[in-house]
Amino acid sequence: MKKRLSLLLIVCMILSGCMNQNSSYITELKFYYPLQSADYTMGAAYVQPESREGDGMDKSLTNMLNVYLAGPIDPITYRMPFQYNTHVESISRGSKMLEITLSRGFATYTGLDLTIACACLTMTCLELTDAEVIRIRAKDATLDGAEFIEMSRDSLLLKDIVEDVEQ
Amino acid sequence: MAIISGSDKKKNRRYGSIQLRYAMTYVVITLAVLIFLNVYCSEISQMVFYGNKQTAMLEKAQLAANELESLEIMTTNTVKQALSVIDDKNLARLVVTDHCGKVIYDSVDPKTGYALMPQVISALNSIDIFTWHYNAGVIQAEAAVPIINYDMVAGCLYIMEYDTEQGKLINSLENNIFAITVVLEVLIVLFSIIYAISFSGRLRKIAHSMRIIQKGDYTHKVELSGHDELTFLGQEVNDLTERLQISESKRHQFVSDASHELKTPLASIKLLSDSILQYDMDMDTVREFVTDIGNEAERLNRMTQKLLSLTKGDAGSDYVEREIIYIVPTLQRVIKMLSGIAETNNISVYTQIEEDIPVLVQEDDLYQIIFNLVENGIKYNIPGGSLFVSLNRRDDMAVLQVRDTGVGIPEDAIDHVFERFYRVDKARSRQTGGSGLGLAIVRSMVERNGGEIKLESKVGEGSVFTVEFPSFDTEEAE
Repeated sequence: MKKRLSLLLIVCMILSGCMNQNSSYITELKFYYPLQSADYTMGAAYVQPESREGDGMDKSLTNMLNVYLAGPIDPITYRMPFQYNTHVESISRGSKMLEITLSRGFATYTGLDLTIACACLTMTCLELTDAEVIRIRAKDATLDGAEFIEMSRDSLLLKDIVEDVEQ
Repeated sequence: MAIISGSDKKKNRRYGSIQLRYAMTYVVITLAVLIFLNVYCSEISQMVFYGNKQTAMLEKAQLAANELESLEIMTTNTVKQALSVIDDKNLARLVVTDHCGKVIYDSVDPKTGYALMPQVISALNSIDIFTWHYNAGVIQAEAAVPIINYDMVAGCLYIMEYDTEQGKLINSLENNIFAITVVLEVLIVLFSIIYAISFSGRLRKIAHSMRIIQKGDYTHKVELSGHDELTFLGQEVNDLTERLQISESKRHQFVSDASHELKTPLASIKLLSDSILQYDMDMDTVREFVTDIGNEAERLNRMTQKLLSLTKGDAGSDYVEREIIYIVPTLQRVIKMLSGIAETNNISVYTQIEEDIPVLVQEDDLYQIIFNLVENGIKYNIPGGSLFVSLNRRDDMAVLQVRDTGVGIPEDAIDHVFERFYRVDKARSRQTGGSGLGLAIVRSMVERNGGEIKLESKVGEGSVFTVEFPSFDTEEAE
C-alpha cells in the first residue's frame, strides 16, 4: 500500500512538472516585445522577452494578456508594439490552436508593424500556453485585408544562427 | 668564511623583495605590451577581412535585389527564377520577404512564414545593413538590402554566409600570434629572473664583502668578473678597503709610537721620584733629581701639545680660516724669539730677504712652521755653525728657505723625516728634547695652508728646507 501511494505521489509530481503553461503555476512570465534599438550581436533577435513576476497576478490568460498588452515596464529597452488600450475581447482554444480576438483598434495596424505586433503576441502566447498555433483577429475588422493572422513558432524566423542553418 | 647573522638574513630578505619587484615589473610591462599587440593584431586582421566581406556581400545582395526590383509580382517561383542568375554557392541562406516581413522565398526552409531578424527589420526600414560575427575560426556574415519598387520598399533581400576559410585564416593568425606571445613571455620571464638573480647576486656579493670589511677584515677583497658598473663598484670598494687598511695601520702605529713616547718620560719621572723616596740623599742630589723630573714633565707637556696640534690638524677639514699676511714680520718674530737659543748654541743666524711677499695662510700656522724649521736648524747644527733663512719670489710663489750647516740627514732617512715620531738620531733628539713630531707638524700645516715643503740634505754638509706658498699680491686680490 505504501509503495502504491508513493508511486502515485511521484506520478503526480511528474505530471505537475509537465503541466507546462498552466498559468496557475507560472511564477515568472515572459512577455515579448520588440527592442527599441536593434541588437546585431550573433543570435540576437529583434523580438525579445521581458521577464515579469507572476506572483500575485490573476493567472487567467485573459488577464495576463491584458497586462501584456498594456506594454513593457522597461520602455527604454523595449518598444510598445500595440496601440494604447488594445485589449483581449475573447479567447478560444482548440487542441493545438489558440484564437485571440483583440479590440477593434488593433485593426489600424498594417504592414511590418502589424507583423511585429502579431509576432510578439504569438511568442508570448506560446510561452503562456501549450498551444502550437496562434490565430489573431480584430473584433469586427480585418487585419491588413486578412480575416486573421496565424503564426507558429516554426513559421517565425526571429534570428538566424548557423546551427539553425545547418539543421 | 663569514657567517651570515640574523640581521644579515633580514637584510637579504629585504634585498630579495627589490629583486622580485624589479623582475615582476619588467614581466608585467612586457606582458601588457604583448597582450595589447595580440588584441591589436587580431582586431586589425578582422577589420581587414571585415572590409572585404562587407563590400562583397552588399554588392551581391544589391545585385540580387536589382533583379527582384524588375519583377512585377514577387512570388516564390518568380523570385526563384530571378535569383537563378546569382552565384549563391557560398550563401548559407537567402531570404526574400515582402514589405510586411512575410517570407516569399527562403533557400533553407520553405515553411518559414515571417522573417523578423534585426537585419531584415533594418532593410525594411530602407537601411542597407551588413553584420558579421567571428568566433573560434568561423565567420557568419549577414547582409540585407531593401527591394525598391516605384520608390517604395516592396520587400527585403537577406543573405547569410558561413565562411570557415577566412575564419581559419584569422584563427590561424591569432593562434600564431598567441603562440609567439607565450614563447616571448616565457623567454622574458626567464631572462628577467636570470638577470635579476645575476644582478642582485653581484650586489649581494659586494654587500657581503662590505660587511666582512666592516667587521675588521681589511684583507678581504671583492671579486667580481665583468666590465660593468658593478665591477667598477667592486674595484672602488677594494681601493677603499686598501686605504682603510693603510689608515688603520698608521693609526695603530701612531698609537703605539705615542704610547711609547709618552711612556719614556713617565718612566723617567717614576724612577727619579722612587729614588728620592727610597734613598737618603743630600739636597743637591735631590734638587738635581727634581730638576730632571721637571725637564721630563716639560718634555711630556711639549709632546702632548704637539700631539694635540697634530690631531687638530687631522680632525679638522682641509678648510682653515686663512688671511693674507706678509711673511717678513712673522719671520722676524721667530728669529727674535730663537735668538737666545742660537746664541747659547753658538749658531749664527743670517736672513736674506728679497722682498716681503703676501700669502694666504693662517698666521699661527705660519709662525709654527717657521719656528719649527729654524729651531731644528739651530738644534741640529754643529757648534759654531750657521743658519741661513731666505725669502724670495719665484714666478707666483713665495719661497722660504731654511739652510743649516748641521750634520745633514742620511739619504735613506729623507723620506721619513716628516713622519710622526721619526728621529734620525734618537739619542741626540732626546738630548735636545725632540719628540719626532716637529717636522710632521710642519708638513701638516704647510699642506693645509695650500703650500709645499721639500727637503734636500747631505750628510756632513747640512740640510735645506724649502717651503713654497702661492703669493697673494693685493693687486690680484682686487
